[in-house]
Amino acid sequence: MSAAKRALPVTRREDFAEWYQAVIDAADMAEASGVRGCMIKPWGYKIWERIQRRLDDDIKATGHDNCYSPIFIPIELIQKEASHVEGFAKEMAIVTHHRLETQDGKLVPAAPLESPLVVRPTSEATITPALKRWIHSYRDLPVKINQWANVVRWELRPRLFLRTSEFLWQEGHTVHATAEEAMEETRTMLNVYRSLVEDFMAIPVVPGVKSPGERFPGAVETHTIEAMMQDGRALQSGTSHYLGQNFARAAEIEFVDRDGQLKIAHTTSWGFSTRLIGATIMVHADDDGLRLPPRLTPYQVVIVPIMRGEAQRGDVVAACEALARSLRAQSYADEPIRAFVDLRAENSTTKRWNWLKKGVPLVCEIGPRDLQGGQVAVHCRLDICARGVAQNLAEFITGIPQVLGNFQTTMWNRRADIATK
Amino acid sequence: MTVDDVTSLDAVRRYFSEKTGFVRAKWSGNPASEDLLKEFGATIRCIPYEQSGTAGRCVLTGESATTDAIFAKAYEGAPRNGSTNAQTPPGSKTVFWIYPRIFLSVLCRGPSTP
Repeated sequence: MSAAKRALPVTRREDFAEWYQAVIDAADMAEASGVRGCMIKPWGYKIWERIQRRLDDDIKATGHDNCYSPIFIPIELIQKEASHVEGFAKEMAIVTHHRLETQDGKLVPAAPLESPLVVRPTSEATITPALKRWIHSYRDLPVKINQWANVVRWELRPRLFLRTSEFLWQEGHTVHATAEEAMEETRTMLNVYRSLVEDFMAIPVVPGVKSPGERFPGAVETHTIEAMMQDGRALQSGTSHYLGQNFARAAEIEFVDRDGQLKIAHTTSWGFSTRLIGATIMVHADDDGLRLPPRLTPYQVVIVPIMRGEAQRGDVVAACEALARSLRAQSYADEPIRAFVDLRAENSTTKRWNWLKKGVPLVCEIGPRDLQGGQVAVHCRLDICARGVAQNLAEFITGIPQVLGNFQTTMWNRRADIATK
Repeated sequence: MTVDDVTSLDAVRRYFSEKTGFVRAKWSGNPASEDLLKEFGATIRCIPYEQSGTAGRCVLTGESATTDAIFAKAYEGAPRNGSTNAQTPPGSKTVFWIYPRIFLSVLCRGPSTP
């Protein structure tokens, strides 16, 4: 077959932006929903859930508790932090009514609100006053909370995952007695992000501190991890802010310290969003579709039964399910292997391509002939070739942790020495 | 990760006109100088934790400087290239490209062909 033929209608070199969209379509990850925001489809959401689960564990392991704050911000609350508001004012959604009425057969908003509500672009404006209510003395500190939420920033030029008017993220907010402790928190959380992006997602980053011109509005220091995309452009991939006493002073978060003095607290905030799914695409995908590192991917092995006629159907399906069970009994990176048997009524070649374009590391095929030979045909997503590699079934099962480990390392190495164009 | 070192404004200009990626260079920290990078469509991405500790001249201002900074073109806000909402109708162009591939791959199928 010709080496030039690729599964996507457009290559990275031809048009990076079109290619990015083609990867999302081919992997069936998300779509523009027809209204503001994007519809994250099951495969895109599964990837987010993998990120979310690992990050949530790390957030809890570093001593934070999850909570939830309201989506609506009273306009007078958001006005409190002038420089902060300035950064977001041009992209805010505002709720002005709370009822619909029918007039001349059309629905129109009725019952205007006395004071409009902003749909949160971030939650400092609601969380900071809550923190003030909870904190009175040094005994109440530190407060370390996190929330998983959706936020809205009205984008004029949206792009799936990278910039959408509504997106999902986590935002951490902490309050400390001293600047040193808050600085340490800022660095700790940047390291949590760095480990997630490098070790889990196999994306190399440069960690550092933002220059004043690139700092989060209202922060004293913004720490960042910067990743390089395949088109040679950088993507800010996670930020952790030391806010000093700026926000605490505006919200009057004061506490009585050990020495009996009333002091202003030091705060931090840090966030990580679905944007990193976009980074995963722009770093790892190729002209055949998405590629997912084994630690991140929702499924590490997908098993496709090959069936001609009904006669051997039962045996083939049973063999596929037995393989999935054997794989799940093994573990890689402290988790059971994630194996999935695709029993859809679709032809096997279509199924195989579906999963390769979704970025699954290994796609296995088992047909009647394999049953006799104790074999499995394995397609590796690192470098797609037309033929599956025939492997002894028992050896494939015992070798799977090693194979996935090598796969993760190879993806990392290829990105770590990514050539700049 | 490849990071290219540059030591003059000319080299920065040459770099971003020929290619893109991470550039490491000395920076004085002078906030006004950040705007100079706009000419190349680049920004200061960060002052990396990992510093060389060497002394040199700021590539933007010529002042003496010890701080390394990382410059790059970046995804800020909505990406500017290409159409932002281009939705390929599912299966239109894709089918055209994939079918020959499926056809060929069936012909060359490995040992599991029944």
